[in-house]
Amino acid sequence: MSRELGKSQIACTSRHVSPAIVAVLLGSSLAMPLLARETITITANSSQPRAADATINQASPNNNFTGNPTLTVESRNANGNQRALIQFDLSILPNVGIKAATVTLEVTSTNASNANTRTYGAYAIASYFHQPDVTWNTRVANLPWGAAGGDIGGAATGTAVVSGTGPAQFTLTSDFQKYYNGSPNYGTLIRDQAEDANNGGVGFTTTFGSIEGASANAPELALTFVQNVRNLTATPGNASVTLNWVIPSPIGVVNPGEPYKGVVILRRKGLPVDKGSLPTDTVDPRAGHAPGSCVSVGNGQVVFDDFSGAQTFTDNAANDPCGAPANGTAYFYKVFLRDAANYYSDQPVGNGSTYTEEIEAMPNTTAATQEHAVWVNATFSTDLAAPSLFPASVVVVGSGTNLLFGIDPNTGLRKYPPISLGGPVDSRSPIIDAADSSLSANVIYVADNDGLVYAVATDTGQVRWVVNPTGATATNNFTGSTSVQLKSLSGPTFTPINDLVVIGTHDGATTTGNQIVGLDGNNGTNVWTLTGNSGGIPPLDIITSTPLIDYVNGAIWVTSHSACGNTQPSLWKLSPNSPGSVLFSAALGDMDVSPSLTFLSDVLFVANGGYTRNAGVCSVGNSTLFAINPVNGVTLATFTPAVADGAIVGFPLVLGFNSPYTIVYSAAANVHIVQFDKSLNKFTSLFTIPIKAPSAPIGDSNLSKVYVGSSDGFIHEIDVPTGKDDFDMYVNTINVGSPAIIGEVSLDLGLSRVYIATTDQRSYGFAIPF
Amino acid sequence: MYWRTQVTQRSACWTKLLLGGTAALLLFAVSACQMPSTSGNRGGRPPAVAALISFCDDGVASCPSASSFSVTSMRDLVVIINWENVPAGNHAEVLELLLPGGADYRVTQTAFLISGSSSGSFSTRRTFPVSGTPISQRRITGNWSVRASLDGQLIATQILELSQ
Repeated sequence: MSRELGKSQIACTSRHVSPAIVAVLLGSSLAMPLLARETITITANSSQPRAADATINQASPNNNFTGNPTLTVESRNANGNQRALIQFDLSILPNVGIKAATVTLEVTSTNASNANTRTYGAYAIASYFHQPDVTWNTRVANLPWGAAGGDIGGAATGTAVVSGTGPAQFTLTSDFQKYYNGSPNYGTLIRDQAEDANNGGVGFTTTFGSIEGASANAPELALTFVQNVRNLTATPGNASVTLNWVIPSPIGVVNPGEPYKGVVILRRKGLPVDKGSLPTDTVDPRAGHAPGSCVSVGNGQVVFDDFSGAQTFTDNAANDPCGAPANGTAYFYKVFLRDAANYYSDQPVGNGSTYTEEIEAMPNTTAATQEHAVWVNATFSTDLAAPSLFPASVVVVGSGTNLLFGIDPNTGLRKYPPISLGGPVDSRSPIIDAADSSLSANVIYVADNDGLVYAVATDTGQVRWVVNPTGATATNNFTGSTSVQLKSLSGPTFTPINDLVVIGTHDGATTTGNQIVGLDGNNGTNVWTLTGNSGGIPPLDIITSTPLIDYVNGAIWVTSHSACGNTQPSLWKLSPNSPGSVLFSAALGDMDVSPSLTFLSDVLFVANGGYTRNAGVCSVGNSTLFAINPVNGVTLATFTPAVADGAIVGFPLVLGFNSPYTIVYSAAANVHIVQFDKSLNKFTSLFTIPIKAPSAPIGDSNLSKVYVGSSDGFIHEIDVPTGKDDFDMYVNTINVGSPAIIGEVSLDLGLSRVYIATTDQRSYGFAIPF
Repeated sequence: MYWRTQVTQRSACWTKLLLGGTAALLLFAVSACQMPSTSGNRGGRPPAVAALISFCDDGVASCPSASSFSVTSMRDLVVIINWENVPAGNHAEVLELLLPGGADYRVTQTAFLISGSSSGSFSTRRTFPVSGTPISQRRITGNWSVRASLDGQLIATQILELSQ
């Protein structure tokens, strides 16, 4: 049987025969065969940046087996088992709802037979691994798997029986639906279901075609899916909201007779339609209901149920059976693309569907009071750090679910499926554009709670390199972000040959032995490491902030905790050059706040958290803001507000090109605007603006506005010259944890937009000024 | 309720068994599909998988267990899950740290192996930074919750109180 013929039969079986078999096996009736709008087959190859495979070998547990023409799966006693790891590049399908997924591996050799069949199981891998490093014992560099042989759990998702050469097929629909529904995608592990076989001392060995082998034998993934709509926008009017969208062209093989027919739109007042509210595949939500009646699906109202292929809808009293949107109230809309068989752009899974396109608008009587988001993007997890940004090009949002989302800032669509990392990302990571990067690539440097540092190509989502920079297996726990000193912007005193990536550890188990590392931006190799209480370095407590690159003074500034006292350093001035050294340190009290510099780099601003120890408990208090001479470290002035306001959040924002500088910072209950006159070395309080639990402010010296996220569900736009809380952009109110907490704001001066993430597990884009 | 959950789970497992179609898979799946039970090991049924979730602050000497903490003083939240009666084989724990109100704040996975000769006990430990994060800076207080699942099945939930 030719491989092509075999694949053809597989496709037929997958789409038409298997459900019937399942129905017979279950003894139940699956009345509808599995139909769907489009199917695409992805053949893995080495030119796909996010495709990977490897064999891991129990007999050579510390050796990496990648780049071979075949993958090996072996059952053999005396620690002779082998397993295969496969990851597909799903970049071609960033915005779809998955209906079926089948992986086909080509058996190129086997000693299984009809008399001695072998059953192979496919498992979703539970931990991040890196192909160039992975072995039976380790997944990334020296980080061990949770269990040697690969991290998996429970039973196989799919199985295939092998009795000779030819295709082996695994139905993995539920795994791939999870990958498109907020779960990390670490790939698939294939292993023999009965390992440790003897078989006369030779065991059972099967080889499968690999990514690096003949393309005819390469792993294949057949996905059946429904695309999301594109370019969804909402324009509020007077008691109306007009939605526009684009029905996409097919990108796969169209299922005969099932063209995209229209959309179902769900609406919810005040907060997003939750992920569990979705139309049921093959069912029209309005079927059986009286014309003109208002129908609900979960907590969303069906305001538009269309089979005509319309790409616009105005939600008003005339068109909406559920009633016109009320002025002054925000509405969220979720738009499900449907095909002729009523399959929708969602994941039909028990825990709901997260990635269907959404938008928000607030109608009102006048244009000045109407509000709307430019885009909404569900991330399925809370991350209150400012989204990373390369203006007008890409927005990257981290998550607490180990995912990194690359978003097109123009449309809000995912540029590629989320990037699965080893751990949560707590902070805003720097994006470097190709023109400035020593990698000559658009790249983001990410540090996660798993203790790893990554260079990720923002164009493709490919992990260019990943390292465990300290060698620790459990204690890096990065909380602050990396900073990058660019070779292209540094003077001749900067000696590293490439860009330098700097990060500090957050090892809570020690107050003295934390580390700051400098890494080569091109490959992640260590340039230098500074370890507290070692090699003449003072004790170093946890670092929760992001280092600051000081190009003018040729230094890197880092803040840290100081063991809840004023004797251990908390402000560090470092040399960027190997072998790394402390140029200056100061004991200013525990610091969580990242340092900031003036435009001329003539004043550094830092703040402590006012931590004090009482009865053995160290508690945060009221911050002191410091103005520091960055050349010699001398404190020029300090500032505390007249009325105590807790600790400063994030970082002080410095505006202005010359002294007197304007410093805007957030504390527990207010945003403060103060002035620092360098000629007098004096702070002056200008304004105190009450805002509920504000985020760190963001602004620009060329703008008169700064933007602050709040815990009241709004983004606040503050006019700096007047100190007025100008306009509050509604995001949402009630929400889980009512109201939503709005994270730090990113400012895109290229598109005149701000971006935020919130506790409603979404990120948003809004046009500015409000 | 327990019984209902158990029946549902067994149905799912039998589906897998039917689809798998091999004796080896059948044996494995029977082992992997045991559910929590309040009745202990009676009638030859293996005891139910159980998880005990506990918390401590690694900023406090020796990290004593507690269920209530102040966001103004907490350094890192340490979540310890003690698993019992876990059948032999590979397992994946999912730990969800949920905001007051129920939205995911952090979701982590930890895989481990229970050997055939083991008692079925295993302990995992995860550290979540608090000091200097939005939890402390934005004062995200209230009743958080932690859910522990094993191989896709929710096993235990524990409330965690964070206060000012």
